[in-house]
Amino acid sequence: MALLSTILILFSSALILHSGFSSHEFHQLLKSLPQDSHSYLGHQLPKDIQYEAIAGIITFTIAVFFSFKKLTYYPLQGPQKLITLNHYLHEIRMNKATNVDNLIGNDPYGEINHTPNFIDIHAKREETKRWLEQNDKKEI
Amino acid sequence: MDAIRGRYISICTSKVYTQFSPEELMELNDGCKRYMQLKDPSLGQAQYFSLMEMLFYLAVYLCKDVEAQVLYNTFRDRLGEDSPRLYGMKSTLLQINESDSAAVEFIEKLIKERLEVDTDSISYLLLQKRLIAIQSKNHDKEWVVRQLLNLIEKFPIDPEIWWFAAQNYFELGQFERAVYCLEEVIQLTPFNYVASARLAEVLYYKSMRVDKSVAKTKATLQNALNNALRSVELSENYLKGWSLVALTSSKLDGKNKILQLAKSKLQIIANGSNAQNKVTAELILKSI
Amino acid sequence: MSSIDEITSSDYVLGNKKSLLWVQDSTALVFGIGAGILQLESFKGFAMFVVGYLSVALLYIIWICRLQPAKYYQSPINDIFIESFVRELTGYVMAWTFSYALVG
Repeated sequence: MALLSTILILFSSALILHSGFSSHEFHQLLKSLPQDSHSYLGHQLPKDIQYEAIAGIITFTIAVFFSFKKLTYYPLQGPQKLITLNHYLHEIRMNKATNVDNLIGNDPYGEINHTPNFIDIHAKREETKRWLEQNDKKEI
Repeated sequence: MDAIRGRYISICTSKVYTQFSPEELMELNDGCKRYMQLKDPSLGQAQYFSLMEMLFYLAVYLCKDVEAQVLYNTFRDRLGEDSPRLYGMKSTLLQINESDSAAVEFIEKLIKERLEVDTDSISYLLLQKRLIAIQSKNHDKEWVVRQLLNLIEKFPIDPEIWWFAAQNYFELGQFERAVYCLEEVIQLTPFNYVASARLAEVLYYKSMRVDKSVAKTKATLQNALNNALRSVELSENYLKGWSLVALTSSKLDGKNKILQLAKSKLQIIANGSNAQNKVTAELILKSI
Repeated sequence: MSSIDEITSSDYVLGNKKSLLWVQDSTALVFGIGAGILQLESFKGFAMFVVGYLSVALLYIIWICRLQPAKYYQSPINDIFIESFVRELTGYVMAWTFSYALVG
């Protein structure tokens, strides 16, 4: 979707630029005509330029909408399987908003609930050392 | 890319990595480094530094001392030594490179010379917490609780201390006090549904272990049920919350409707959540 | 007593507003450039802004909000139609006059 959106934005920019330049040339030409001539008084932008500009605007708008992606997540723990939700925005009601956290195993208040500042570092390192030793044994 | 960044940021802000097993830590360390090398343009500078800080603690947990030192030096050169996080990192480094007593000495000196008279309450609080964490190994739980209470006297609105105090009281079997501490946590962070569920859990244990009379058991269970319901009110598909709702309502009379509701919700979680939650929900459904 | 529905996640409220603002900002600018290229004047130019603004908002509600804007915005009418009206109008008029002068 993101690639499509980029391509469409580039395409629509080209359309708008081109129509703008055409419109500019048209008006320059118009200025060189005598001011009381018939074609000067009844002047109007040629239809094809008008259509090009309008098409450019519409394509750009659609491209902006295409740039939205469906929400995707990886779970924090366990097997890394991409979870894609079927909507573009986050629901704001607290009881729904936390569904994402439940789905990926996140705790929004983890900074309090995991008591990160009271972690015993030596115990953690001990655990790692044991695990490394076990792994070494397995490899041998 | 968004999903990968989201994962690392979530792990980093929720500090869940402090609960990881060595294998997961290893995976996280490698993955996060690979991600940082990609130089993701959507990663803000503050987020970048948070991830770096996480990498530092991962290196510490994984016994990669040299790497931790290098990361600390990068931080120090970039931001200077005088900030709460940097103090925390330095004390950690002292713990692993020299000894606990060196770290204690560093913190005590800092507190005595600067922080006790400064207005820097963030550093003071953080270092006091670290001090308790370092010293707790040489003392019993009662000592830890006393220290925590002293700290609470000075910082009554810090939920982390209350939570840790609750944890310690729970391990000591003093459920009444653990309940009080958790209630304080909920007062400070009213939408903390995890704390509500934990409170329900502690109340449930209290009703099983401590309460003697039937009436009292019932009242405690009702209280537990209320708190469990509060947690699922704040979070629709919260597995622990619904499990506690099911557990407590099955022990109380006349709560059949709630029990049925909890069972149906657990079934929904078992059908549509992530792999870990699915297994847990199925186990709970079987056991009730 | 406030009901549970009024408790919202402030991060997501802000995030959703930001996505809406990006859509409205970018389209208002392009509509302004278009109006300049078409050499629209006075009432016609403002009419084009109103039409463009409303159609983008409606498209947003249909496409991105899946016809349920209340799920994603605290007060959908105000957030989607009213709040950024003046902001987009100024952006539009700026782009309009700029490209009008450039082309004409």
